[in-house]
Amino acid sequence: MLTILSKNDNISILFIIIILNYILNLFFNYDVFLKTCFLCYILYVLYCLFFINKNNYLLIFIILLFVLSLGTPTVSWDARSIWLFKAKQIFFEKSIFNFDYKYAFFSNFNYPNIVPTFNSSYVTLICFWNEVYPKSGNILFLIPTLFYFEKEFKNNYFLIFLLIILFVLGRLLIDGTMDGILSLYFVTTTYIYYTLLYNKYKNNVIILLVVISIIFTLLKLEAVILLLSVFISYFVISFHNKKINYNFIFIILITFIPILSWHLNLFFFSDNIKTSQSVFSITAIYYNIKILDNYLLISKYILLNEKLLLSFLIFCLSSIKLKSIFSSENFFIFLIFFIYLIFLFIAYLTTNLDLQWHLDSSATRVIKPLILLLLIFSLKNLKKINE
Amino acid sequence: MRTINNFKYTCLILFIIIVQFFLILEKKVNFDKNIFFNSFKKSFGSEYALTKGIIELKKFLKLEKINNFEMSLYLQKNTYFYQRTVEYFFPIKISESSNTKIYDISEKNLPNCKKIIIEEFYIVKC
Repeated sequence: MLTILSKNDNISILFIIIILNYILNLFFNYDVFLKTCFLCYILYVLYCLFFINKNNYLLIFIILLFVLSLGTPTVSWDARSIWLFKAKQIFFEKSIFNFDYKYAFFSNFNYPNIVPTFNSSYVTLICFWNEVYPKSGNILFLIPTLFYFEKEFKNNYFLIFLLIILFVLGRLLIDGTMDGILSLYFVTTTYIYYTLLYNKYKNNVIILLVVISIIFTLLKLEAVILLLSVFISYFVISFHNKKINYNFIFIILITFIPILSWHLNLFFFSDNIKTSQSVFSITAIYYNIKILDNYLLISKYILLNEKLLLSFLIFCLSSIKLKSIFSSENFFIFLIFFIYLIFLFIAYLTTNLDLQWHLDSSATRVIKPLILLLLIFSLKNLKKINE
Repeated sequence: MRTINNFKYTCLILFIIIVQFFLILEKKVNFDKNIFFNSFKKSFGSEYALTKGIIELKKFLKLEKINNFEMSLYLQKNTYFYQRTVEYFFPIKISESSNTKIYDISEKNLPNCKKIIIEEFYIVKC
């Protein structure tokens, strides 16, 4: 029966297992369920790797990532203090709702938990915690997105895709932090939106989009902003092309429900969120918005980043070469790019922290998804040019 | 341009990918084959990421089967020590009602209870 499923269906199944694992961590606390669920995931990944997406380059790439991840210590602050600590808490307390949100303020209790639950279930397979193994779960988590691009790019195009990932994300793929996963999920989600924008609506693609969007919003807080940028761009382009499908927009809005429930849960059941000082506030914007230097500083950190400039240039050149710089296909990407930049400017203007310090510690991270987006769509343009 | 899918390009791209992997290996991460071969061992890896004092403290608390501990204000102000102990000691938790308290060895005016020296720390049990 599995052979009649398309590659998209198989990827959707993997995403559904990830969501199921998350749900199990919400309601059940039996290792046997988690282990079974996780073993199903691993077996399905192996099945796809050896029978569906038979690609030796991908196989070697994944093995090398595992070797690197298992051979390096977990030293990144984000990995130790936030993501793997959450996974550790879920592993020992047996459920997302069992652990005390008031414990360890520094670990950003308001961040969503889908990757920590995944890593926690990954650790249940070996039944004990150590300081190296849990972070390699991140690689298993991003495998479905690699399968998706293996389907989209063939032969040397897929090799260039792997090269771009290494160039843009590098150690973020293996150090236990969330930015590599976030970037790859963002580009995959955008790519599926793009596919839907210029092709007929197919049920299996919509299912894929819904499940990946749900997972994407549950990765990190900025994922919601990224998805909103894609969603607004999609809406604008559809409106411009007079192809708005209101049913589809309704379906997409549903994908925001899990992350909204997470925040509502925090708001109603956690005292900390009301008492803790947030990094962002509306009052800060009244102060920051009047200072011209703030705009210059944000521009310096974001717009003058070499990798971003380079990827933007490559995307523009590939669009010119394709003679479609003003086509709606490329305009969709430009729109996402500019909307997300506007959101970033607003976010930095609302910061309660010292702006220079905040930019220093986060600017190169938050633009990674944009760099990857521009380069992957440049590759898509290159593929089109050669077709 | 139209022949991007040929063997020459494949070799070139593969070569760049291998160089990228080596750059990550050499410059970006501290790869160590000992870590790789021991990555499936229980409680392995702390010595590569934490100070000896923190590791020894946890060893002691585990040995003594202590489930919670308190930390002096002086140590709480040390962000590195505070955050690393909270996440590394878990499921041993910080609790204000614990009768086991950790002090820095330089601290004065410790309570008059049983004191044990672990590396650069006092563990005081009242």
